[in-house]
Amino acid sequence: MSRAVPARQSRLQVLALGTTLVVALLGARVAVLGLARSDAPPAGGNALAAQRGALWDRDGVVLATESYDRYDVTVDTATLSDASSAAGALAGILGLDPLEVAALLAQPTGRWVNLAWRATPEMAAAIDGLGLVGVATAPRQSRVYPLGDLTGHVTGFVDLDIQGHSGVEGFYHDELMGFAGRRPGTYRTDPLAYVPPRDGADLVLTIDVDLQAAARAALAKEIADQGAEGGTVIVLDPMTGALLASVSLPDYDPNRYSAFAAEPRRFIDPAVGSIFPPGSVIKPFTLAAGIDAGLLSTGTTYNDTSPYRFGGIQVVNPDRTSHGVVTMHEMLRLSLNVGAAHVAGTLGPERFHAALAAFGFGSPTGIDLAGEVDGMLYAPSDDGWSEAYWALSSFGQGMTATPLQVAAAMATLANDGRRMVPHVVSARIGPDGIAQPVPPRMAAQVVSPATAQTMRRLLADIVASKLTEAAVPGYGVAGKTGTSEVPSRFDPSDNETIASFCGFLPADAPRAVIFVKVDRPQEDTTGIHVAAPLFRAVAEAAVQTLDIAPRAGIAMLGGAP
Amino acid sequence: MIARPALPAPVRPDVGASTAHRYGTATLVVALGTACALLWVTIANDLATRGLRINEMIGRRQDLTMQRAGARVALGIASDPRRLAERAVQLGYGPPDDVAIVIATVDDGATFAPQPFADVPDADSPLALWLAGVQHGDARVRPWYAQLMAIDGWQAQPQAAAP
Repeated sequence: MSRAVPARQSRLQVLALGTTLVVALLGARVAVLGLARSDAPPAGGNALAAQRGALWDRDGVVLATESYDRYDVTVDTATLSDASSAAGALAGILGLDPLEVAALLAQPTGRWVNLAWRATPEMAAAIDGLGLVGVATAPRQSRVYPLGDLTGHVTGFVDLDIQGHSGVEGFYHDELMGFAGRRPGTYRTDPLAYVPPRDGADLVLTIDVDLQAAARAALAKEIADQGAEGGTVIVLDPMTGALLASVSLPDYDPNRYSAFAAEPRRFIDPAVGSIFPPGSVIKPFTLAAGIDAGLLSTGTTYNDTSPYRFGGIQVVNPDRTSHGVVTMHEMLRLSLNVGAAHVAGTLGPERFHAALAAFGFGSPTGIDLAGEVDGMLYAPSDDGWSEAYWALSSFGQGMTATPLQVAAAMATLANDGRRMVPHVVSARIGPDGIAQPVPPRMAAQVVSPATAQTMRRLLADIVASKLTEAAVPGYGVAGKTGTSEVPSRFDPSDNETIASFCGFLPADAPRAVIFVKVDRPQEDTTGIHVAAPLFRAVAEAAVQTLDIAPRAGIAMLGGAP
Repeated sequence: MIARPALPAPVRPDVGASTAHRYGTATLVVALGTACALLWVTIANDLATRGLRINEMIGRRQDLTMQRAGARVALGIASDPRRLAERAVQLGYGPPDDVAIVIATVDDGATFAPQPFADVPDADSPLALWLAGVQHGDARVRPWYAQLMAIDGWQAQPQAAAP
């Protein structure tokens, strides 16, 4: 019995020691948690922002990416000890009114007060140097467009709330944005609460910035030379529908979008969001419809009398003269409105409308850019339709279209009658770094390959024989001018013009479809003198940037039609 | 002296078998509680450590993300074709509008793809060396074997007669 006492005491000592150890460990944990707790959560809460995906051109040039060179300055009013002195110091660094800052900190609407959201790194460093408890600086996620206005219309822009607008930013906002995550608990110690953010996908665009820069320089020069209001240049790959370049002036710098807030129309990309009467550039599609229907051939003749009564209106030729008996080939070469009206009359209103609609007029092309509009192409079944629309549309005056619609329609002829859906994103790169190509999509077989080849031959002949301003030495070029009339800005009783040209090269194996448009030129007014030289400048740049080998056009197509 | 009566011996509690059993049970319970507490402390501490480690990695990721963003912006600005063109002009190369196209033909009449060339800015430049022949020499480029045969000493020499 006497030996039991020391044994009990020993057990009690062990128990006491164990309990002490447990209490000590618990105390240590409490201390650790207390230290972690002292690292108060930021004003933004526990959300972990996802990286917005970057935009790249086809050769890997950065078009849009995130930046962290601006800082949020936030004050935790619950832990700020001396609000008045802090207000003076912070206001001095941030260039704010000390009295306003003091008032803000004295009567906050909530615990957290955001004093600045675009402070420079120098300001943030100075504020951190103050060592004020309760004042925090944090880098702010913002969007940067290194090429500025060069690709502004294509990229669009992102506002302060990281919301994409216009262009690719607007169309792919959800895909670029990704999903926010959550930190590991309020005190950063709960791994089960951690949700990793899922970054947005990077997008590789079809744009070639070298071609884009060359097109923009050529367009700016032409606008300056002609005293024009603006203009548009589009370059498409006819085989895939890839948008290789899209420039419209005036444009804007997406880095400074707020500077253009007074001109919201600047944010509309004219290539897809503005409509214009396309004029004579429509005539190839009118004639293609007639040939494809089997009602006409290039040698079909008609008696050209101007004015010509059709559809309740008097159709007159651009040169105001009658040309007698001419072939369809000659009609297109001379760009005769009366002949186009004859073709539309041969087709009939329903079939003519269906043919233009099949080329994509009157409906969006489906390009992956925000803000695309559909243009106007009146159908015989529409309320208010009259035969005048039937007649006028045959030469591009009774309808409206976007520049991209015209380019896509011309690409259809260049691509053996296959209309491809224009697109600007060629691949998505997910957060895992794996690129997923975006395959081209065909919208429809609009006309037969034979009809398309016939039209290519006709259009190449036009450039070779008449539109030498658009010719590129060493290359067969096919195309058609357009000169549409719009009411004058200066005199409502007078007209101004929109000069355009749409063509492609090489004529026998098209690699690039180029559409150019100059709005309201003052020095000259016709497509042949204003738009054709611009086309050539862009085509020469396309030849170099796209590595297009020289090819003669007409001979390879089997001779002149 | 009056002898003091002897004090009774202190009564020791009689620890019976049942009391010893209670002590044993209590000891076991406390030991189990201690073990559970230790286990809890270990797990909780491990979790908290993981959470803090995740937080550290989040911070590290943000640092790397910021560095990457800065590099991308710099790369984008440096890749601006307008800046590159301006820089090329500063280096003495001609502006893109003035770049000439040379189409050189070989003897069989085949045509090379066009090659742009700029004004030769510097005789030490490899580009200048390559262009000099095209710019100032004969536009008709001889076949490679003709050039090879023209090199001194390349002509086939008769074998020396065996002694």
